[in-house]
Amino acid sequence: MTKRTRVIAATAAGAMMALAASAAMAGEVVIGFAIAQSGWMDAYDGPPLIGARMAIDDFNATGGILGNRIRAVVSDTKTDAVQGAKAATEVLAKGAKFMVVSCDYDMGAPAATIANDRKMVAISFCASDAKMGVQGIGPYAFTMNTPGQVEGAVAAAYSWRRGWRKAYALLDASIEYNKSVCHGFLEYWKKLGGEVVGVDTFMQEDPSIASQITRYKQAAAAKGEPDVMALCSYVPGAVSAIRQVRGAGIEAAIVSGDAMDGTYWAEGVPDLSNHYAVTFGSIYGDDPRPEVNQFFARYRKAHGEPDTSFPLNGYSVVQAFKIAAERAGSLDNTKVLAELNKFDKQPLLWGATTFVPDMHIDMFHPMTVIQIQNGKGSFAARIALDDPPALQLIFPEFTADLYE
Amino acid sequence: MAGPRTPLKWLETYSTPIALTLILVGVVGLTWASGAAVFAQTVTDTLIRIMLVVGLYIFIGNSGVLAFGHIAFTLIGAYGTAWLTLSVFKKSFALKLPLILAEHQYAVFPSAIAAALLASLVALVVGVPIMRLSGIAAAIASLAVLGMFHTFYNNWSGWTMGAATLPGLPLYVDMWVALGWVAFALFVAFAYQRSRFGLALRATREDEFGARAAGINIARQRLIAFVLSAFFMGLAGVLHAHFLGSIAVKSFWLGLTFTSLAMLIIGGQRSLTGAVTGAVVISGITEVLRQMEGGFTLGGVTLALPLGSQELGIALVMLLVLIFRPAGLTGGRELAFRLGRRRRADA
Amino acid sequence: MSGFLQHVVDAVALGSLYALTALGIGLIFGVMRLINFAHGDFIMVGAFSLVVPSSAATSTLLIGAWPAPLLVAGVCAVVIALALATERLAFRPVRRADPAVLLITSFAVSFFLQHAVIAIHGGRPKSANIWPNLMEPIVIAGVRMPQLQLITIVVTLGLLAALALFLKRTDIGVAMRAASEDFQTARLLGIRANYVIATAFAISGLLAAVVSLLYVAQTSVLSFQMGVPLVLFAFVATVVGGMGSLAGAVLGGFVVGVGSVFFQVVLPAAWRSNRDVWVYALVLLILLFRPAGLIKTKASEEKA
Repeated sequence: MTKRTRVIAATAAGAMMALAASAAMAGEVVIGFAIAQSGWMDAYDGPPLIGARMAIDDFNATGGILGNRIRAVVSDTKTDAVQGAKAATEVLAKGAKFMVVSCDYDMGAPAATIANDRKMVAISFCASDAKMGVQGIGPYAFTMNTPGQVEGAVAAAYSWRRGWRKAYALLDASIEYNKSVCHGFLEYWKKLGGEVVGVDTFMQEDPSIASQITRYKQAAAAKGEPDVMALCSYVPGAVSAIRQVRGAGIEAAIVSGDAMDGTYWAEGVPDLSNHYAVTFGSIYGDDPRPEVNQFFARYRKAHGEPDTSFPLNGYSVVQAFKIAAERAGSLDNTKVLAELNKFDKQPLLWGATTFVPDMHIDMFHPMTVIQIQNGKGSFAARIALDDPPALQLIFPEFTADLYE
Repeated sequence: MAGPRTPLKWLETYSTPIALTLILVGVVGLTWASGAAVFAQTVTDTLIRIMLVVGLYIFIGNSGVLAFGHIAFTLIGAYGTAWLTLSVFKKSFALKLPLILAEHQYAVFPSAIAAALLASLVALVVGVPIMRLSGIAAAIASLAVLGMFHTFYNNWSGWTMGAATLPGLPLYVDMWVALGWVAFALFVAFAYQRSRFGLALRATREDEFGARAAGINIARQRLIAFVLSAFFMGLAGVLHAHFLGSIAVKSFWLGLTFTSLAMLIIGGQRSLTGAVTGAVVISGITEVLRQMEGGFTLGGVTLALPLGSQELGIALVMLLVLIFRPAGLTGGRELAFRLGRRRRADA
Repeated sequence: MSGFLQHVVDAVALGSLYALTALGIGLIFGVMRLINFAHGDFIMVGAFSLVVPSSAATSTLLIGAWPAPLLVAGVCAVVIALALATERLAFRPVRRADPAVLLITSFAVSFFLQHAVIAIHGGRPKSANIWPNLMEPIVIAGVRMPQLQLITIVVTLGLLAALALFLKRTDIGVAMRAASEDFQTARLLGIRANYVIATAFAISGLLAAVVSLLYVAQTSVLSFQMGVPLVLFAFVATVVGGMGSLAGAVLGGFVVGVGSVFFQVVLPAAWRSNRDVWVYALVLLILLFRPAGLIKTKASEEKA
């Protein structure tokens, strides 16, 4: 039977691949990267992986971790949930001691679940979701980012600092991250005493936001022209929205989260000005931290122009493993976990990082605001909130108390 | 029915599901013996797909109505089992469930049944109006139902965490658990298609007017198949949830709809063997291509297909099968065997 | 009042996009009983033909940099060629198979096209800036319209009129309508299937190219999945309008577009992200009360 032969052949092939997998050698510590190297998520996992490799090279030059040479094994999740689980199993089979997962909570969850199940520390490159942590995946999961909520709050703080007082929120309701950014913005904006002219939603795939623009204009006519629009979305829907918004003559400043870092996406909005994104650092050589500028100069030389500042997070993940293991004096996951839980404004390349046992995402992290003027990006501000929002896991719809 | 009912006769009558189950047991056994962990995951995933395609087959194969919305039931089953099996601790973080769910955690086996039954119940409710529609209208109506549930679950934050992945489900589905449920599905599907309900529905597939003239209530027969199909689609959702440990609404949408339909059509939509064959062949070829993308050695040289070849390859394979064997790989035939001497044919 | 008019214009513009897409699907269904899910990918390939094939994050315009008439002709040529090629290579061999096989074939083609684009351009969405001046609004009778919205509506009406003339006045158009209304009889009467079907695909390709240009001018988005939501709603629209009826496809497109805008405007903010639930519910209602769709044709009366 053809089918049966095929199945047996596939079984045999699989068995051979598994047996050929190599285990870790002595004097070596393997970090397993279960991340996307193909599919759309590759755009977000690729740069941090480069950053991580740069860190591995740097640390191996000075003895690795506790004298053990660091080796990276990578398995492609192909931007697919089930494949993500298999990628985790594969890096485990290849001797991974610690795991690194995708820069996105949904994409990284299957792999992080497997790591957590085995009591292995798993750090996400840059998932902006508290669920990639104790309250979601489990006690062994971390993420090298702040929640979208904090990004929204920082955007609000920056807008206030600029003297803007009337805001409009346009939410792309397709994913949780967007909702958390808008929620964070509106909550902090209200706390500061700002006025909300109106709110509206669209979906990532909408071919037209003409109705949303109409509603904006009506609200502006009734309550005054907004100074700033919080656009809580991601590429490409956000680009479509910005194009239509600017095309309709709306000149309000636009603020967004880290999903809009970089200028690579700005082709569709020629000569874009007054756009601000909350992210980790400036890739334009003008960050106030010299180590960031040096890092990107190295990056530029070896890998070409960086698209976003996410490689900083990749570097920081490996840094975190090294620092925690060295403090613990051991590669044992339970001990490393205990040290990670004590990170108090620990200097890492992406910034001072704080983790505590019931918070594996950094609510206090200073964030960098990047601006785009005339299509060019530059550093705008660096903000750390003294009063960040309370940790929240899900963000239901716009509730009237946020904007009325 | 004439003739003695001997165990041998029973075996022969049910030879299709028996044969299919034995083949799957063989694969699972070999994989388990080899200890290959990643491949075991692939086998488990394939078994879950078989469940999915068998669920589709129960309705589409027997009725001839190409409904698109069945993944709605997989969605319902997956979240249904989450509501029941997540620990109270985990539910307390973010979900706002009614007390009977929020303050309890139920055992996985009854939860699986309950979740699948929930899917069936929903199928009953939406099926009553939809099954009265003609072929294409029923197909689109079921797609609209899928669309409604998809959007609704995507925003039902208090119960589903909205668009976010819901983590923390107990991981208990390995190859053997999946195999057990799949065997169950195969026997039930086969029993149904040989029952008077299944046969009546098949009659409507061949000749709608003639069947109606013979007194068959088409809407009712379709509804029965729809509800039974929903049970297994829901069960597939349950298995997926406890295999991956996390679920997301976006997984149960157009991609899965088309992949499962493609597996059914390519295997052969008119037979249970076709359903299983389609799932196994497509999954198998996908996996082989994926391994080749990862790199393989041929005569001492390491080669690798460029990334992206796997998807292009599988699309080409599907097109070729459809062009050259439009009735599917099995062409509507069932895998079967005979035992003992052939007796004179029964009625 | 001008607010209401504004919403009407928004609705009609969106409806036009869906109507054009639905018409492309309806044409093929009419002559072949094939629901072409790859239609969305024709639109997608047309959009990507505007830029240089490369996996870089930023895009460089290729056809997109040409002067307008050449740009339009270029994209049309690419998509029509693609449509004819898929007809010849993928759909003609399965022409006699049952509808399920035809459908899955179109899905396989769609899957193939999407992944081919990913292989060439990378999986990351890109931006292409064409005709930015069309985003500028003009004001007519108190209603503010981006020029592009007006152009969308005018082009749609123009194409519909041209197509209607074509179907009524030319031999091949009449043959297409005949096949659409009653496929079996048309074959018996000796309509040359290959020629008619190829023409239908060519027109469908032209429609897809137009939608592609309007869409990119509006959003600047190039993404390998960009065709999916369009074709999904267009497919639903075709059935709601009445399968087998070309006027029905257009009507269905407008119903879905108008319905979408209506719910966007009317629903309170907290419910707006559930807008699509209402749109699907509307579709269900229409199907329950008029299962053959809004415009009945002989084709839909073949089976009870």
